[in-house]
Amino acid sequence: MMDNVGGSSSNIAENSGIIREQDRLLPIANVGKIMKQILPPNAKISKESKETMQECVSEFISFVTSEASEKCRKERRKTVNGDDICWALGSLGFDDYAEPLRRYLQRYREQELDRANNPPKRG
Amino acid sequence: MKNLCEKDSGPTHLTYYALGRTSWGTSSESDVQQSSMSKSLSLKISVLPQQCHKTKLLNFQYQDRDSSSTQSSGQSYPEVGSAQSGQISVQCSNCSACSTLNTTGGKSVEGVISSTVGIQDYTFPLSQLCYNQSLAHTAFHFAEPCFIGLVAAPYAPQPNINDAQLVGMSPARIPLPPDLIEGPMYVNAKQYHAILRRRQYRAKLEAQNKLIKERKPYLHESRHLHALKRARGSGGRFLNAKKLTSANHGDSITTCSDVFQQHESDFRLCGYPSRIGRSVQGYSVEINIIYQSLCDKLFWHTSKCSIGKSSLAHLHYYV
Repeated sequence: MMDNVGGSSSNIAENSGIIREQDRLLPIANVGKIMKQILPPNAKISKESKETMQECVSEFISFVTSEASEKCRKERRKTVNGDDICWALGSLGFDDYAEPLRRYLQRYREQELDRANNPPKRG
Repeated sequence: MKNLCEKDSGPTHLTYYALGRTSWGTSSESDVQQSSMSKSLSLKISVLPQQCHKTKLLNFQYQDRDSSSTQSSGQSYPEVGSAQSGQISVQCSNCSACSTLNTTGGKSVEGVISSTVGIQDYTFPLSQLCYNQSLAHTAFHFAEPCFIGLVAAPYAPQPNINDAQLVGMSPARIPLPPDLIEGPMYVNAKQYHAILRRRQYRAKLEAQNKLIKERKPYLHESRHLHALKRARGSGGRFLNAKKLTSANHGDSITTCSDVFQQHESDFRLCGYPSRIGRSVQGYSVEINIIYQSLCDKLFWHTSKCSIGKSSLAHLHYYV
């Protein structure tokens, strides 16, 4: 559905080195959906607040990822994995988030292992 | 906090803090390059750890990169973590004046000469260290920042290459380098280095003129033109094959549809036409303000606004 190939004018704009909006920020629709989950059903969210939250969460992702990437650089590894993200959250003081993410990562890996051992049958 | 500051680690902290402060005077390109160059070329003095104290010290290590075997093999990372024979340990006795750093610098110069004969590049960071030290002495008159914390378990087997990670029981507040707009800002000590790193990265993007100045109302021109051609019903919503389903569609995402839906009954009771843009008379001030905001948002999309989306294909497009 998502067509990343734009028109010729947008291609010319992209080649000048400017980082595109869809490359720097999260999609604003997904941000709006996540914000809506915590609100009552009849609540409204303005577009300005979605854009502000879009900037905030994108900067937070870059903030945590740069901390994890710095650790990988020191250890001369090229792949940033989930453990590095959990370590980075703990290193930056977000311990309340690091512990639930470790449990989530553990359950995610167990789920992936089960999926690999039991491939879905075709029929 | 001041009582727990160790005198032995004073010049190390002060030097490091001076490096951090002077590198963010302005966010121009030359400063970014200078800070990155100073980070790569700066001479690092290793302070012997004292086991009786539980203070986490900032560990600066000088490593001879030219004689390293991994360096000659084309290693992509210029720094080597393991201890080498070229490592020089200098112990600082006091933290009073620049003469101490000059003495340390002299010892380091001797070490550099003894370890790397014929290389003159390492004299530059010494002068820079002295320069930063003098800046710290003349410009900043405050208590030296003290990093208090226990040594965490994951750090014990790993050697400290550049900076030791600050792990504190309670997050202490240390001042960031001041911005151009605001004064000094106090942040969590754990996030200090990460914030500086992110600032440097954003300054680099700003220097390369890669940041987006303003946001586009839409991402793709063809989809925008297609949306303009679609038929719209009363209220501006897209018409579907099933008109009743489209009329009962209550899932609103954008601000325009939210504002419009709230006052739809008021508009229709006064005989408001389906085409938007005509002047409305006899409304209250509140409705006029909301209506004006609605018109501004509508005309921002070249006099045709896409209120409501009945198709999932355009869900990622018009938000």
